[in-house]
Amino acid sequence: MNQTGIQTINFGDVWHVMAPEVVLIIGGFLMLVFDLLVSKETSRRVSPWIGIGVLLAAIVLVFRNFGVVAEQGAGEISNYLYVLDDFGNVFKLIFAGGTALALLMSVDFFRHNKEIKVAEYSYLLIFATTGAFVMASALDMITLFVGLELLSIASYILVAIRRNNAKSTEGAMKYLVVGGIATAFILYGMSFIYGVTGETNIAIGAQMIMQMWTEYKPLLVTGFLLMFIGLSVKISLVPFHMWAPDTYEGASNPITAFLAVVSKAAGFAMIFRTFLFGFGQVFNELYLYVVILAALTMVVGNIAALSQKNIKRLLAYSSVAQAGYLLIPLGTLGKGSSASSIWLAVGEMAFYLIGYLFMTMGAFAILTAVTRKAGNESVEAFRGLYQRNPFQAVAMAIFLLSMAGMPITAGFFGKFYIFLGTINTGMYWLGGLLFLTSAIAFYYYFGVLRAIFMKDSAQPLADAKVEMPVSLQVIVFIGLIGTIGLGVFPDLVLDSLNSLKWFG
Amino acid sequence: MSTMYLSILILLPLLGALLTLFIPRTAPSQARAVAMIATFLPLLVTGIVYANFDGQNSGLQFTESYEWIHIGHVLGDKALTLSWSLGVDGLSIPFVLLTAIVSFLGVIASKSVQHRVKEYFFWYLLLVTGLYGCFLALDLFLFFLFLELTLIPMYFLIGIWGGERKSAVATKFLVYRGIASVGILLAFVGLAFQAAGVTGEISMNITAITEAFAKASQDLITPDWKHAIFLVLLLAILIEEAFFPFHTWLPDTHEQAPPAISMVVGGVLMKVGAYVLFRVGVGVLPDAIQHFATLIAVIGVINIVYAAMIALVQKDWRRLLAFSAISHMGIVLLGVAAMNQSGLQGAVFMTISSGLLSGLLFFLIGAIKERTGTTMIAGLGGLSKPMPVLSGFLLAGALGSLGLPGMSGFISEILAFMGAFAVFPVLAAIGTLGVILAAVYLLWAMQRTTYGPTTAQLEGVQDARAIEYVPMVVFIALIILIGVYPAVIGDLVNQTISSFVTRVGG
Repeated sequence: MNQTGIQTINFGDVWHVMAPEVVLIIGGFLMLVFDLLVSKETSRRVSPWIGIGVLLAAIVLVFRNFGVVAEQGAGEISNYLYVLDDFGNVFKLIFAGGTALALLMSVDFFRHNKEIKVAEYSYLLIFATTGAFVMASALDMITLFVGLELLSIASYILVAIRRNNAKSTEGAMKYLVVGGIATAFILYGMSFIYGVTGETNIAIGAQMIMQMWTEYKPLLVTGFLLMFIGLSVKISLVPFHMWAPDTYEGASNPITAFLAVVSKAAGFAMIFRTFLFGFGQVFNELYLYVVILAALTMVVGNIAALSQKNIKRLLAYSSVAQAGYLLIPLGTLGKGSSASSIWLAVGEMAFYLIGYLFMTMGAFAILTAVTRKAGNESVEAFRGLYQRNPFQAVAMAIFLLSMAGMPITAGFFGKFYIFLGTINTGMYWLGGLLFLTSAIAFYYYFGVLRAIFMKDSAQPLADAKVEMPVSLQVIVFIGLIGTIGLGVFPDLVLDSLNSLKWFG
Repeated sequence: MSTMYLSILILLPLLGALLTLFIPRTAPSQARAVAMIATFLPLLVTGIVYANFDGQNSGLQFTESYEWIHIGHVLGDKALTLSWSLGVDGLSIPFVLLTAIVSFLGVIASKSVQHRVKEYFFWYLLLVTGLYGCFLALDLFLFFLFLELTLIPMYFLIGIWGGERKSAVATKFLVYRGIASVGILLAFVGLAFQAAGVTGEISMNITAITEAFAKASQDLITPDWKHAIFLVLLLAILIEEAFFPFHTWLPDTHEQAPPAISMVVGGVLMKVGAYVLFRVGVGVLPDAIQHFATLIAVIGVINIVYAAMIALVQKDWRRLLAFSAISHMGIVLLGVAAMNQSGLQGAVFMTISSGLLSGLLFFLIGAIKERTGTTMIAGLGGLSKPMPVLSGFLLAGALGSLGLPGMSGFISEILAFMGAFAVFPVLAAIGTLGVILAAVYLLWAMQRTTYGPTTAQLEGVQDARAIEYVPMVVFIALIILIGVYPAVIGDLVNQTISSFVTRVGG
């Protein structure tokens, strides 16, 4: 608590803790300058690849950080303003990996949409990822807020980037308005916490929260709820999910995938760390809000998906439902916040997010190829895909079955593992609801499978063959390896996750 | 002696399924040949296993186990281990035999499939893989995996090759069985979690769980826990086995599925739930069954009588047979509720017998539909003139089904009711109503189908072809064999059932 001393920060310290972030920021600005210096054509061609290169460099540095944490324990700068630990590292891998795949998916998108400003698009994605990185590692509310805004504002622009597309504009407008309100909620909530504790740092403020709990409980709970509601919007929990279908539908496929994976994962990182660090001691009085929202999200998300005819809206509701599953681990902490419960909960969430990354990216890659061929985004666009391109049909089936939670896929083991967590803390009904709503979800996932395998193609077969560019094929392969690999050998990843020093 | 027999049993149909993918679309007969071989070889292997099976041994035989997933420190210090472990005992070997026989005969019955043949056999073999897996798996996680593996092929088999309402019925099948499998998974994990409290590690191996439950004191695993888990399991089984009031999907499925698939569903797939009830319900939670014995018996009797009454008014043979099967499976519940040697034996006998009879009857109805284009009882009539052989076998099947002495249905009913009368005399007496009703609805339907004047368009249709004699004769032979010499199954299951029953007494 002796934060009175003035610290001097040198670049060595910063590099020690924030190396991937530094690389991303420098890379982003370099891309910005690069765009100004070279011809338009070159910029269009090269920018996305520079972006992918920057992200890969960040991934390498994150791996280096795993080693650093394993060797020296967690690091921090500026009085726990920003920390280096394995919790952040795992999430950063998900963010950087997800963005790299989204950018790879965009290469094909640029080829077919000449009006897109490629360089802008690429460095905005890099900056958005930086924001996500900050959300996973900052402990100071102001810094967290800056990270959140960096991610959000870049995302608003990215959704709106197809300026001549009415749906894109509509989606972006909704996202901007709802997202803006959410941001205001978060900030308002933070101000309550600051008002009571006098600290912007949640880790340091946590002790004050505990001491002040009985005296200022209404204020602290209000602060918690405001922050939670704001963040719920970001990760699309029911009843704050209404923007998601419209925005997912309006955005281009790579951006939708980015929102579904990276933006959502970032929200979860921030929720988990903020609430665990700040409210961990009093979470047994707050977890019910989390659990209720998780249950509501699973039920409403899956039921709303039943009637969707547009494949992107269907996946949007599916991703709403997945957010409900992902929130369960946090909810379970209310009944067991021993160290082992926390490791289990983080492990569950990380494992599911990694699996979710693979299946979502793979599904969106195939969706891109199929809907372009059909010229529309309805589920019917998948008609007879099995006859038109068996490989894509089978791959899509595997991704959808994984989302539905069929065995030997990542999605199943992820759910199974989350379920173990609910049993461990005695929240059986929540675990039961998880699988019950998944069984309801069979209905709409199999609706897509029915179009793929059962129905005949709407056009003559010779005209309906679906071509897939190499970049998308690569994504599908990565997705398949991840989805099946995590399903068949989950112990490989889970054992490494379990051996991490999550919070130092 | 190699110990890999059971893995081979599962892998052969799987291999066959993968092989069909490489067969050109234009060569359907090759796909058919592959399916024939990929179900015949497992039949041979099953024969070897059966021949070498030691009936005096109540334990597991032919076991093999390979660790698959091992995660240290899942819940605190407890490790989670899931393994590929297989084995057979007296309880499972009749089911494996049933799978082997019905799946092979099902390929023969698939003759009428002419459309997308290669895909058909791909899904068919995948279904067979799942069925073998269900009866051979000793790890409940593995069992669940195979159970889900039957779900996906069934969806497509009904949805692509089914009748006019195929799409809706495929979805109905999927949702009902999907929810049932959720219940089964919840119950399994509950069992594993409770057993972990005793053994100190989370394993889903059925032997480990059974032992943990057998030796755990009341404080370690409280009766409340056992009851809660059992109720979840029971609910799942009621849906899985299409018991009233969750039965509506089964008549629809039988009506809409292609005939060969109807055969496999009635013959094997519908017996998986009963197998879970024996293996997990009776094997692991005998005291919970005793606690809820009256409830189970009442549900059983309701199903025996209600399904039989509904069967009376059915206009379609396939729906009639579906309700008849539900009524028969009600007897299984009654036998299980009795929890004595005779009742349990009767339950197992009834399950196997109902599997064989369903297989035979659905095959015959499929053959009749192929010739006459209908399965509506009103649309048929006087079949015994143009098709004496098929009509004869149909009559034999119906007689077996209504419990004619000398056939498998009779011995099953006798055993189950004997067991039930000892414990629930009143309920058992009401249950016998179902047996009487069975005679009414089956003989009445037979009379309308085979006797009377032959309608003009049915004259001159062909009788059974040579290849069709194979399934008919095999089924009837087995049904009569069990009826006349029940020891063929009795000797297999007796030891295992005795070991279940002694545990209850203790």
